[in-house]
Amino acid sequence: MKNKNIIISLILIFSFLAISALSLFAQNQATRDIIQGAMRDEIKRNIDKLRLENLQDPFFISYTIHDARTMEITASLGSIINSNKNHYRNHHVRLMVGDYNLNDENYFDLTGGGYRQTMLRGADRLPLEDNYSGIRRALWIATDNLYKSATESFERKKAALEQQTLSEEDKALADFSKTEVVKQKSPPIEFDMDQEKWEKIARELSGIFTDYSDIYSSQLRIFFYQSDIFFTNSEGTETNKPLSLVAVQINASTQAEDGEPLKDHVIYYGAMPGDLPPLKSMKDEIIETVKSLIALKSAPVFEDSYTGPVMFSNQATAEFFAQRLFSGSSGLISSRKPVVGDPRAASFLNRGGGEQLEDRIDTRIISRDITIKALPTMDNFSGEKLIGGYQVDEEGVKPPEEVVLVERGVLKTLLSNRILTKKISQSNGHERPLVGAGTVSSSGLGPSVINVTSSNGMTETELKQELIQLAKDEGLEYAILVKKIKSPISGQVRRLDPMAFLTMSRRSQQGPSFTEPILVYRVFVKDGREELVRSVKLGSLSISTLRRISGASEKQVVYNTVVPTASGPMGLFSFASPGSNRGIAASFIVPKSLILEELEVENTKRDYTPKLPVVASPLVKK
Amino acid sequence: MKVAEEDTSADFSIEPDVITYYEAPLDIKTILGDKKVWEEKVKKYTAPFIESKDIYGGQATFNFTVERKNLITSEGTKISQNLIYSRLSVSGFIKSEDGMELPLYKSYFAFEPKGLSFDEAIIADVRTMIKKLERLREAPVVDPYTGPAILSGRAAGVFFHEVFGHRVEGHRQKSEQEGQTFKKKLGEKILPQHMSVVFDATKKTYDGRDLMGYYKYDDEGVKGQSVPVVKSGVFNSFLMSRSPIENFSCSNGHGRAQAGYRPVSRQSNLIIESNASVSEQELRQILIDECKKQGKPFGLLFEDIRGGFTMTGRTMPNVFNVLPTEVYRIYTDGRPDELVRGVDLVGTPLVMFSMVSEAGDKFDIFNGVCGAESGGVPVSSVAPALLVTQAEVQKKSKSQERPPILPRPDEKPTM
Repeated sequence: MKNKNIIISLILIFSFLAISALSLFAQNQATRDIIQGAMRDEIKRNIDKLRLENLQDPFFISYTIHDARTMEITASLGSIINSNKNHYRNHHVRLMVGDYNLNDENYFDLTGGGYRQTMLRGADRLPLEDNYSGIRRALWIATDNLYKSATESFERKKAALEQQTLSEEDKALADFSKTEVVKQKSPPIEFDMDQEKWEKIARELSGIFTDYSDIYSSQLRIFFYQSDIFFTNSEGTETNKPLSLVAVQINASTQAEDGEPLKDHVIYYGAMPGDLPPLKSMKDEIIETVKSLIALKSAPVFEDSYTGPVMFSNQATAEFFAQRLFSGSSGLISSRKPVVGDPRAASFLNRGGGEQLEDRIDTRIISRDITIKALPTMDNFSGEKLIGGYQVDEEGVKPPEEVVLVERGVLKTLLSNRILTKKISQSNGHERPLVGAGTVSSSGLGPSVINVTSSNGMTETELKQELIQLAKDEGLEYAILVKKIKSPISGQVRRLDPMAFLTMSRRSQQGPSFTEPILVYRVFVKDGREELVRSVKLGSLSISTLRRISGASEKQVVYNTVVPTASGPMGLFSFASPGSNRGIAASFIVPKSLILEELEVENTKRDYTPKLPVVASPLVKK
Repeated sequence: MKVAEEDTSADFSIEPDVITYYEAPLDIKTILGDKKVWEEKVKKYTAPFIESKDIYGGQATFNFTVERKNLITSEGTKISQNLIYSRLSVSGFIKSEDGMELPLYKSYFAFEPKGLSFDEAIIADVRTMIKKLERLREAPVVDPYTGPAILSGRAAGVFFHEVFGHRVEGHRQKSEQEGQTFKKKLGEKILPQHMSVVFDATKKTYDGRDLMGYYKYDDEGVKGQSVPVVKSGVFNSFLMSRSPIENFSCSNGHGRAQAGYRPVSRQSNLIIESNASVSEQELRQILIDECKKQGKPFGLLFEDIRGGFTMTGRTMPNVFNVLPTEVYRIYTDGRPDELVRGVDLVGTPLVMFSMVSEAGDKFDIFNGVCGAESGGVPVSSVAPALLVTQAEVQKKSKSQERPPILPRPDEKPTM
């Protein structure tokens, strides 16, 4: 009898759940219809009627709307510093005048694109209610604005072109590629943003640091993002897809006895809260990180000048590929050289830096063993969740399942969007949403799921032996092993470390460089012993260093991260805002370790070293 | 190497009182009530804007802040006080055919949200605003002009805040980079004898309306005070933080800052008084008489403003700029007042100050947040309409953007 009751109540609960899920779905569908309808109708009206006499008509309009919910919690030492939930809808409009061959994009000058004094541009946010007319009104004003500025820059671009000598090849290069019309709708994703639960977790994880007075500053940030993305363009493409990201980020910093600022971080990413590791694992990893940071305080300073084999492992291997080949607008990311308005604009552009690889297509750029592919539609790798996978990109282009970027060392193609370059004639669907500090806004060209394999994989033991052997051959006492590199997204630019700003300004002068290493070891040839050292600077990690990879693991590891991305022509503004945390969610599946045959390693020369705190931390137990 | 500065006062004052003051934390939820109610209200306030096709922006914002300030010093001061502000602002803007963007603003302030519950009056204000916007769109543009003008109470308040208030902030008298307009004016007559100016941080309301510049203790732990800055036209005192200057060794409770900034002397409730005020009608007549005397066909009435700014340094010209939103021409020949657009009120402080002659008998309040080196601090001004015998206006900076090409989409969904 009792059992039967339980069964009945279970059935009731299930049916109740089913009903609420259904009504939620119905509600979502109604919302989706209104938003998509407003976008479609306003695009049609504008493409048909938006004109100014004697000026070019718009030939392409696209609207992107993010209907987003966010939750952000920051905590330090067991207390919540900030906790909020947000719901917003913002839009992004793209409009081009001219035609596919020649339009207002791919143009840069120093007069336009700047601040235009108008209040009309204000409303970038849409009504949170499903207000059809309200959505259309916001799109109307934004489209109107963009049309006016697009016609202006088109006229300036045409004038600039008339004053310049261009190669036939440059003249023939179209501005925007044609692509097939895509209609795709994926069901929305919804997960519970349980603020109370995650505040509790934030307190618990950040509270770990109260036991460690040797760490001077620590902070934890939890960021949940969940949105429904709508894309519609005047070519007829309509897509609607969910996007979600969850992140837990812990930053910690301290100083060595000689004042050197030291910092480390732990970052987890997932698409859903369930993708994050269990609380216990996160705690263990934080404690481990704290311990290694404390060990770093008393680690010997690296005073030598070393040239020899360097092994990267785990996070450092993944960061190595991410930063060298997939950040900003260099490496394996295509980049269109814009038409410039005048010589001053050209010299401005050239400061962007980075290595462009397009001219080296069909030549060997990396060690023969290495193959690099993008697998944009992949969502997990042997059970591990990948945050870089998707079905359709931010220009409504469906990416192929596989893009071979480098085959056995030879460069084949680059990641691309609908902006064409000399050797890239179509998009491979890599226009990605930019995840910001608290929002997702517009998009940029960048990586998806990147798979790096070695045809000559070794075991970890073999690799370490190889490292030692290489050092021996060079007559070195030790080799260098790098286990962790600062993640550029950790955004840890804090008062404690004025050097960060110095390197930032230097970087903008020299082009993108590498972030500083966190965990570097000397591996002694004699007995294989590993010794942690600090104040280490890695030499120039240019792409050519990749030509001499002496070995890589057969075992692959998954690294989910957010890659800082370029914005503006040729990534000009990619380093404009340090620690802005804007980037593209990507996954890297890379060999666990790899050895670079030769790299310079030397002491970090600091221009400025802050003093230690005068009074000891109040956390010191009496 | 620098030569010695003129002012050799101490760096930090010794204050007679060490304050211990404690207010219990507020129950924010009870004071605010249901947030939804306010969401519905701001929607309701903005709804009328949609009825006018030419209005491109209509916005209402409700802002509720509770700040609990804790101050502990090594001298023994211990203060916990609550500052609570509820602000409602409504704005709309329209564009004239020549591209000029014409905004109007209306704001309401009370400490507690319940002090803002007058829906019908607000909606009536919105409707008035819409009508005014539509008239502004058609209004003629004024050319640069000098001549007599009346500043409404709100305009006069902002004018005094910018032109006078920022120049009597004590710490500015110390820096050799600052203009120090009033430094040597102590005991001198700077305004007509019938006028006085007080900065009164202790005043919580005026005429039943809450004043935003009220506080119990400033951000250096000194009790908020009433400081008579101008008495019967004679300059009497600076606003003081704990940074002493010549002749003023102590704070008078005006060391203020936004949380996270270092306090400097800032304004509180600026109150302009006159013991020889005239009625609105008389004020108009005096203006017309003055215009005739100067041979001007009209004077200007600055009815409402959105704010202003000023520069107090030495390198740049020591000027002020008040940004009016509603300006009328008052004709000497009996024609009705004419709404005009396109000008800012500009000038240099001492000249403009010497031109203030009469004060009206109707007071108006301007509540707002003042921004300067110690961040944004809540302030207010209470002022009568003022007559200045000579004001100068310059052309407003203007958008060149033409109005939207397509009409506003008002269709219903086609689905």
